[in-house]
Amino acid sequence: MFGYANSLKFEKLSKALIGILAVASAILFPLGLYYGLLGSPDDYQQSQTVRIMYVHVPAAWTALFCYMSMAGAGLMHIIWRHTVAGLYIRAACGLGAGFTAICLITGSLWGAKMWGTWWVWDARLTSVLILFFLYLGIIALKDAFDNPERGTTACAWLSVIGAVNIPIIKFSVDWWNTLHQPASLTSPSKMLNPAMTNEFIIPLLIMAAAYMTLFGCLVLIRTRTEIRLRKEMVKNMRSVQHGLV
Amino acid sequence: MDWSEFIAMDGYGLYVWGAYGITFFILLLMLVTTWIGSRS
Amino acid sequence: MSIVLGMIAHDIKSDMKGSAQYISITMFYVLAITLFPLAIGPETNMLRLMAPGLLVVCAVLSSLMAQERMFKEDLRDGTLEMLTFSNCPYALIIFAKIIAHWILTGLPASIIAPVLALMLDTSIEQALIAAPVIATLCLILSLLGAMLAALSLKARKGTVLLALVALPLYIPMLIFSTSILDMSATVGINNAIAPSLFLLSILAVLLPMSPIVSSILVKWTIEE
Repeated sequence: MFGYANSLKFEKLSKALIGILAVASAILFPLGLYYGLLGSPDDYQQSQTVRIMYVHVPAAWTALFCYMSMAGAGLMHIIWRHTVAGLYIRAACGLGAGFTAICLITGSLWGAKMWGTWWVWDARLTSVLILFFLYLGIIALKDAFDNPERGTTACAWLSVIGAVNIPIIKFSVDWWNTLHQPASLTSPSKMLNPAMTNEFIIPLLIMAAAYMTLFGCLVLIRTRTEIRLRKEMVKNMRSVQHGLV
Repeated sequence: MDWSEFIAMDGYGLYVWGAYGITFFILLLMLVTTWIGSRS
Repeated sequence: MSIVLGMIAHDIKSDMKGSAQYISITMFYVLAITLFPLAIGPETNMLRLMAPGLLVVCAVLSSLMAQERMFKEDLRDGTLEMLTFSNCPYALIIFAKIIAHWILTGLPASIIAPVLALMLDTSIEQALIAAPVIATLCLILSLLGAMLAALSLKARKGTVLLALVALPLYIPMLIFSTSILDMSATVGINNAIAPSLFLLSILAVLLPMSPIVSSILVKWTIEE
């Protein structure tokens, strides 16, 4: 990991990985869509709306994975001054917010017809909503400083603080949900968590792999962009210095 | 499965296709912003 | 130890001397709660049901308003920097600041909370429980908020940014505090052990962690 603090090594590795991940993603998406939309049965309770699960649940997983990776990168940036790790955080936060948005909107559509309302306060959707706000906070903090380096470090700290909070948030929301649950057979939580058999799990996992490979590919491209931007900034600063001296 | 049945999705067509549509719209947005970023 | 007490006393005195900003935070709490019956209607059944949520949410918002002031003044007049040269560990100094901040904002709010609870037509038992709950909640928020305030100290648009960053992280405390107040009305305070323990354990973790992390962050901000 620490060899890649040197951006040259990172750039070599990322070039190879981007290609592989892009191809993998291009294969996995059609595969997942086939199995999700055609190759799997509908649910006896929810009929065809259960197919929304195949875009909703993997988005939640990817959004959470993205945040955890940002927290890990944050630790590397804070403790070991790993430059590329800091730039990774800048790159990943926008993507994470996007996956969170996908999860929220598809979740809303999933619950809408069944419940007649456009938002369901179930445990997963509420936790993901809070995660969305965490992402927005990081995106806002990123560029709120005059010196971009300070913004990167601040985001690193916020990612770590947020990650420590995430288990607490998940736990408290789950707990809150059980408190306020009307004890009915068709509660929101039961609906948005259908019984899982193999026929449901396989498309789910394929779509999850599709999302993750896409995320990996895009985040590497974005990190390369951030590295390039930082190099340009440093070059500008140096030329100003030389001009003055 | 019959093609028209596929589109209708048991009456939930709007929601299912809406969800998939939004998903791919946002994924496309991610792709495009990443691409523009790497160009500029 | 005496240094910590001295710092707390100093912070409190200097605020009392100033434009009494912190009193206005408690006033904000009172006003915010008063807005709700005015907006929603005085029907007591509804107010009683909403009371736990209202008391806690308005406390969170008041705490947020006060949070930025924790370090800004001292950053501006250079005190924060000078204090890094003292013999006392910086974490203890930050701890003193946090406690002083809580004494000036959270504690008055928790004292007025029972009065506000009674205004919202809760039972006397619920109103009395509101005081320690709000006090603990505000202490937790001051501790957590100190870290975030230190982080956004030199950012542009500091206040709004702090609110955006802090509120998602405050949500668990909000859930647990409201549950304590809610449960004490429905099943009695003796059965509200679970959320109380969660809240206290969060406090136990933050009490050492926040001053240490905040002092690191403040030093990082100063060393620009």
